[in-house]
Amino acid sequence: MSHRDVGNNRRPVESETIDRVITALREPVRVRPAWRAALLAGIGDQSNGSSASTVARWSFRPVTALAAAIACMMVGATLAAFLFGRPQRDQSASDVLTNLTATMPMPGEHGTASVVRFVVVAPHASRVSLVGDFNRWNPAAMPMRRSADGRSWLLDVPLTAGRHVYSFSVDGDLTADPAAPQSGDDDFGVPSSVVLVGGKA
Amino acid sequence: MSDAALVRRVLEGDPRGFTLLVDRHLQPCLRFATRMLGNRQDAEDVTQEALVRAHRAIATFDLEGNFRTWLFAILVNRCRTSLLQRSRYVRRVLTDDNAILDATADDPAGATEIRIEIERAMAQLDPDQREAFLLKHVEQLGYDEMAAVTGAGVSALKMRVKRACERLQELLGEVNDVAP
Repeated sequence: MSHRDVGNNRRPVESETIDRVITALREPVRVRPAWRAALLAGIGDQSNGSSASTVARWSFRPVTALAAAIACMMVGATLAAFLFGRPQRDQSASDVLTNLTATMPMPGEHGTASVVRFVVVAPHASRVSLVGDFNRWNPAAMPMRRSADGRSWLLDVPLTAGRHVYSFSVDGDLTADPAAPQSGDDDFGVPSSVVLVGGKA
Repeated sequence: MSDAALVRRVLEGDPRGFTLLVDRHLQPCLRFATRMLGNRQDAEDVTQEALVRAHRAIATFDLEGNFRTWLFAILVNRCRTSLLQRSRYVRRVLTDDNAILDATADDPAGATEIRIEIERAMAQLDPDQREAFLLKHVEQLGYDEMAAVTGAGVSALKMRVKRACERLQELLGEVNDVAP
């Protein structure tokens, strides 16, 4: 195989350089026997059902307060499901929303932005942060603060009107917000949710 | 024995089937992750995560489908998540013990240096370009397979590969001028 079949490239790429790169990168990477053995042992444990769920390291009861009004949330979920063909999670969302101390979006000192309160229940987590297109998905940019009862993590974020994609980073694991519509933006391969601010999609 | 036949063995309760699948695909998976993340430890972590997830979800695999494509889709997502979670890629050359591990005494003079320069250039590619380049030219997937793996369109993937080649050529031109 040659790199010359690349795309719509009408100008031939310098072959020698790229061929050299490809040859170097195709060299096998050494598989450490101990690592392979540990990997297979872990899978064996999983087969035998002896491993505890590694996913449930923290309990996640979604109570993100979508800053948009609840009516906007419902409209947004319907719209997202229509646009992206994703199933809605009406049951979980409604369960969550009944527990919300939801904060409505409010104009404030941030000009035209509305303040969105994000809340997640993760009592066993040691660090939680909010990541999204508004902070370049940087887990260090928006750490959330633990609530007084120690169960939840909160953060108020001024967001401009429109559609924002976000996730929670809980002890380093990214997870979507089950209370919100899932994002159809799979290009980055990250579970993510959508918040609509100001009713714009 | 085909991958699909091995999957059937797993579904019928024979765990050796998955061991055989692991041995068949472990090397390319680890290679892709290593080249993508630039860090051996991270690569082992995401490869392990991908294989564990694949095993957990083996019942969802379409026996008429391509197991390699299915597995790489999981692996690519794990790599993307890892890149998001950890901003270590810039330390690739400084911390990469891969080159040291793989460097052997019979390497031609300068081969290790060239390899390091190549890895440094790869680190400077946009992640989506690096991903597309590796899938196309190193793992030798077809564009349709790449589309299934990445979720991107064929035209976009071709453009990413093209841009990657151009960027690598730009970055490595000087190195190759002095290479034997």
